[in-house]
Amino acid sequence: MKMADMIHLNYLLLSVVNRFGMNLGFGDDTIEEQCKKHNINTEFFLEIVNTFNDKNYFPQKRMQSFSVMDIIGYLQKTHKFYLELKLPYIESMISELIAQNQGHEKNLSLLVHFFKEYERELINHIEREEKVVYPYIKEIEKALDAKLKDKILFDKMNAYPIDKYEGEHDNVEEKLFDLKNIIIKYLPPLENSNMLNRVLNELFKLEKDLNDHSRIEDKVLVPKVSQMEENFRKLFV
Amino acid sequence: MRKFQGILFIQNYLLGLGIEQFLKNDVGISSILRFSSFSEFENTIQQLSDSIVIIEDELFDLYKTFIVENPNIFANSKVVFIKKDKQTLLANYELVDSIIECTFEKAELLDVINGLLKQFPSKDTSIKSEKRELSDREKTIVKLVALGKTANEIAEELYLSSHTVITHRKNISKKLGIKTVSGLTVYAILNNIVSFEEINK
Repeated sequence: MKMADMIHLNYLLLSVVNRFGMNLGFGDDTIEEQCKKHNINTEFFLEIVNTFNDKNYFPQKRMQSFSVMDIIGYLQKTHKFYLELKLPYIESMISELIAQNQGHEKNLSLLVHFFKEYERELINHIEREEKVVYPYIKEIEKALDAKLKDKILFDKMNAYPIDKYEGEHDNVEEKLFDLKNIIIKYLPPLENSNMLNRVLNELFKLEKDLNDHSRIEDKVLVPKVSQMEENFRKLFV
Repeated sequence: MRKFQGILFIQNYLLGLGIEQFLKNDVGISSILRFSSFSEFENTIQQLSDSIVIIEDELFDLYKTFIVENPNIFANSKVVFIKKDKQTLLANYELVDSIIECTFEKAELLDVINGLLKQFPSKDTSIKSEKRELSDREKTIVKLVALGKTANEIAEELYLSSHTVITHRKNISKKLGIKTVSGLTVYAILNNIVSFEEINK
């Protein structure tokens, strides 16, 4: 299939595709050609794009068969997308919203405050993964490859195995859900609400993206790493 | 005056009797049916519009199975779960409309039941029925949550058990569609349940 045709089919895939370093101006390249140009595993790319496109499509086992580095690599690119593009974009829209609705400072400041709290929680969650969880996974991978009986790592693993880390998605999701509901139901109507519509639109898109992201973390990464931990444990038997 | 029906799935004799009397005398629902199991219920053909269904905590697992096999049977009813033991945790809270506890006072029970009765689609088209207003007790709890109090602190202040407070929290979340403390705080300020200044103290 040509890359261009894929975008015609679902333009929302563009933000996913960008994460792999691919940008508009695809010419007549096929998906495979684009992947080769950017040094991406074509099979992996196709699975990611298909799961994003259709929420009922999620071949768990197949996705677990990819290398843990590919999986983490994609998750990290998604984090970058949230931190560098999505969140700042929503922030700037909210600023614009306030500028356009001078009479509603009190209510809008509540909204801003809530959004900033949500942002902080999301950022903390992401940082924890980047600084603690992913390095830990890489260590396990390295130790397995070298068949190294790393005792310190072993203790670390027993103290905090991967499934303990990943119980945290729910709280952050709840906040986003509340934020949407407050905007839809409880914020008193504004004169100039067009920007508010756009903010809400972005929140819905962010939510969908985060759900896909969590699904990959929970159903692909965690089981795969649990298996790696099992294999690592076997080294010590 | 609308004719509502009460359908009880309660095995405990005294509890069933008590609830039946409460519905008859305090709420004004005179048509009550009591079943001790779901199979007993299946064997009788029942007209199920305008029904309040009350289910005892022990029967919850059976209820879950029952509605998997009969997905639409309670679609137009309001389903209430009653906890005898405050410590019982309810996993699939989405499967019920409200939770009550045996230790609720009459006023609290009336709040919950009347609140549910108001949600039935009205035959009179001029009345808007989906108004999920908070009861006074619930408003008080929202206010205390917004002021940063924990469930234990709220329980102490209102002379309730912390489990009861959590039950109220869940009912509130269900009514409003808001789950987090910060969300409830924003709601409280927007609806003048608490003021900006009180929060920032």
